[in-house]
Amino acid sequence: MRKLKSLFQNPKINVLYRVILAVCGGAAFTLVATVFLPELLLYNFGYDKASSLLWMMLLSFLIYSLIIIWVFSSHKLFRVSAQLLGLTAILYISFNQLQAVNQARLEQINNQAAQVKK
Amino acid sequence: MKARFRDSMTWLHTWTGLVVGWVLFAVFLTGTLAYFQHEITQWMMPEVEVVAPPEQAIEQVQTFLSAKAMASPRWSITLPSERERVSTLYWRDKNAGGRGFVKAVLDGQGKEITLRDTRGGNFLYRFHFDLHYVSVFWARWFVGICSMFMLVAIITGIIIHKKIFKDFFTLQLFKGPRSWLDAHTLTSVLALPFHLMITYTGLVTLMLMYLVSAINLSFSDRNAYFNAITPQGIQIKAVGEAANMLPFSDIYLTAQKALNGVPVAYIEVLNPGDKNAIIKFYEAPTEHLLSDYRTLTYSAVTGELLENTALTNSAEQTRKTMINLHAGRFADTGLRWMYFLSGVMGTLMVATGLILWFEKRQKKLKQQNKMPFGHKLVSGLNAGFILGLPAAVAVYLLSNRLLPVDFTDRAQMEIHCFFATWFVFLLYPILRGASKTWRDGALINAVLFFSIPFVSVIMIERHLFSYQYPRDWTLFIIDLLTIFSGLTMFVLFNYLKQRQQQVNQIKV
Repeated sequence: MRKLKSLFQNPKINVLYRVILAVCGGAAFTLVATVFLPELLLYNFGYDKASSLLWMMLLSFLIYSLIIIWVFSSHKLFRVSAQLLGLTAILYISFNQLQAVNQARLEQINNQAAQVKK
Repeated sequence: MKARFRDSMTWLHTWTGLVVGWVLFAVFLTGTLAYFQHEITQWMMPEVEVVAPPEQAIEQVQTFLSAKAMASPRWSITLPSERERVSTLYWRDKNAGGRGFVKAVLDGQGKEITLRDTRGGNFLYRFHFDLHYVSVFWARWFVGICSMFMLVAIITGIIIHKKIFKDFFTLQLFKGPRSWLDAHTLTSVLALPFHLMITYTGLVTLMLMYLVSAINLSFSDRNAYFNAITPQGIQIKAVGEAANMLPFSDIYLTAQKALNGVPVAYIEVLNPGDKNAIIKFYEAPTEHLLSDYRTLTYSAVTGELLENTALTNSAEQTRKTMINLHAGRFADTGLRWMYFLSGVMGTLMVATGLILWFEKRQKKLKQQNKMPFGHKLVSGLNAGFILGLPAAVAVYLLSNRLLPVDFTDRAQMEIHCFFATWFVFLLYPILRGASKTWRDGALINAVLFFSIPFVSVIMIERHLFSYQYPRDWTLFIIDLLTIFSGLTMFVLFNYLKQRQQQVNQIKV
């Protein structure tokens, strides 16, 4: 652990790690956040997913920039990494769960509509 | 990263700006010129003198396409407008090679323009996001990544610059790095809302490409998503029975009335010559920033209105409005000039930023008597880009006048001339050193820009001394602008020469 810490005190490695974290981690977070919120809004309030996804995409560049700034401004690199990647993972899992639930609901509605038709 | 928040932001600003600065300079410069792309095209097609009114132009188009492209399932048509003088047509031809698209440009008499083949201002427009010689897909990703850097650089730039108003009263010109900082600040702050807007909306224009993975994650079927956002027009298939089409000009006039006189962006004809031939008119967002983006679909055989759709989804409206804001399609002449001047500010902002990076290190390194490779590279690239690109534009315009009018692949050769000039300017610092490149380059630029209107006088019949007004105002103003650019470059050359003499005197 101490070895790892001293490795990250090397300025070059520190900067390289930050760049990778900001660019790739930031992109992953932005992507997951962009798709997560529409599913949540659909689940809770029944908002049209296509529209809210478009709104989120319009906002995504702002989210991405703020994440990049956050990663580069922080003093505690380990904490930021854990927070960013942890949050991304949590959002991704929730997104998957929500999407499955929403999909099931949609199918149920469709089935009911089909039965009424019959 | 650094001890203070502001210091790490300064670091981020410096490096995000430098790494992609040269690309941004090229994008800003050509993008700024693209605000006048149709006017530049007018200048580059001096043989087109007569402009047909749209209802007459569409008649000519119909005659032309009926003779040439009946086999194509689809025609796309752009008519002359306030700013465009020609009709542009696209259709499909299996024997055409490539992706099978054929293009033709018609003049005011309805004849295809084959002489002085040119891409005109459209090349500058396409270059600012498609680049050239490389695949469009990767070029757009590359420009998108650079724009993302730009967005971060602007936001961090605002954070590190607290004293926005105070700096205006302590402006110092011609005093070394401090003045470059002031120049950078001035060009950034004066047009700051524009810089933020243009960068963000620029990313939005290609958003559906950059974020295609988000769409794929959210919707299993990408088409389902697009169908949910935009109203889908009725699908009409060809029945295989031939039928005579009505004159398009009649349908055009009906559509114009239905749109309350708002111009049509483009026209699409599907299944021409078939019983189920339809003609679609797309509303242009050129009158106002907000537009309904209406689409009128008529039967081309009976003239019956089949469908009238408007964009209702507010998110999609926002996206389209942001694109309109970026491209300035709604801007009238006055606002278009404001766009242009803000774009010039943006170009200068990038240029002064790049020079500032160099000047700040120059002094320190000179004292230590060191000249690292990175430093030399920046100085060479600065000169090669900042003077090379304007020169390339000048040569692009010159080649339009100088290349023989019936030269094979002429349009492409003009573009080769553009890049060749730029390439020479990038090599120049290697041979002569960066400071001489600045001086020589400024002089070369001055000569090139000055010569443009006078080469026209020699080469073509429509020039500075034979213009007829009001028809030729656009061409006249472009000539004037080239002379003005030449003057500016000459002033720069003079300044650089004097500074060199001062440096020499101090040395003696």
